[in-house]
Amino acid sequence: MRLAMLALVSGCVTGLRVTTAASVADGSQAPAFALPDQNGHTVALADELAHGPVVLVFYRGYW
Amino acid sequence: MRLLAISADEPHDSRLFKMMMRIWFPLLSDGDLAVSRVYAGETSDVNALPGVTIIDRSGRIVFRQVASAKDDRISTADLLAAIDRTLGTHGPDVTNRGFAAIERAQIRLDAGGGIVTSGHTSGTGVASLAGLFPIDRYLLVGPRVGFEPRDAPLDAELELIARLPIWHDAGAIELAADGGYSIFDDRGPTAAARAGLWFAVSPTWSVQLDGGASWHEHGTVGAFATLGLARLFRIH
Repeated sequence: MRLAMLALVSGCVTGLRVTTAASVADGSQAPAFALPDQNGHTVALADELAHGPVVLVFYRGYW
Repeated sequence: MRLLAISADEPHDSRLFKMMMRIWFPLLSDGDLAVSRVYAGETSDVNALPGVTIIDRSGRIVFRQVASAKDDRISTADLLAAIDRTLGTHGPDVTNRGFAAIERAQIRLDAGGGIVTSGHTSGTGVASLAGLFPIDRYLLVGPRVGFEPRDAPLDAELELIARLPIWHDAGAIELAADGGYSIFDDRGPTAAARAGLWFAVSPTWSVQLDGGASWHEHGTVGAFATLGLARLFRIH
């Protein structure tokens, strides 16, 4: 678990420019979204929040 | 507490990555970066800026971290600390692949033996089936049906359990009080008290060892010890 989380949060962005900055801010309401998971099943933020808090980890993919 | 990891990977690639890394949480595909752009940002190579966002159960963003350079990354320890600080959780609850005590309902089957006395004392077997629901981390409540072949073939009771968590919620010391009615042959009110140890042996199974005493208005008093198995269900 810890190794997997570390692998995900430690993506390298050396030499890259930020072309679009995030538009959300601390304290604001999290924008709704629904995305497919690894099996193609749609996961909606609202459904996940119905079960409790949610932690989103944005990573640069598997390559 | 749910953990969702988001990248531009296709579901097929995420499935492979999930298997290789033995990841237990879902990997979501944000192919056009629509979500990543809003929450984390986009970089010049058309990929997501790595980052972490913590959202409380009301849907409010309570913590954000976005990478700005190679070495600007949040450590796992810092992330867990941020989760604990902003959501009031405790590390093991977050890292545990199971679920917190407040999220566990249980179906318990207990069986054992003991003695009953009503004029004379004799040995007997006991068994019970209970459904228990958490009120909070320290209290469980639910119905229990008890079987004791000699003097109380069928008791229906309501049970309240006070539990003291130990070993990061993988175990608990429990004190239980039961009140109900001995319905078979209409034998009247009954009450019981128990003390025991409870251990989660996996995220979905637990075992418990109990000792206690029971009372039936129709004239018997008993003492018993039981060993039980419980199936744990996530309810939140």
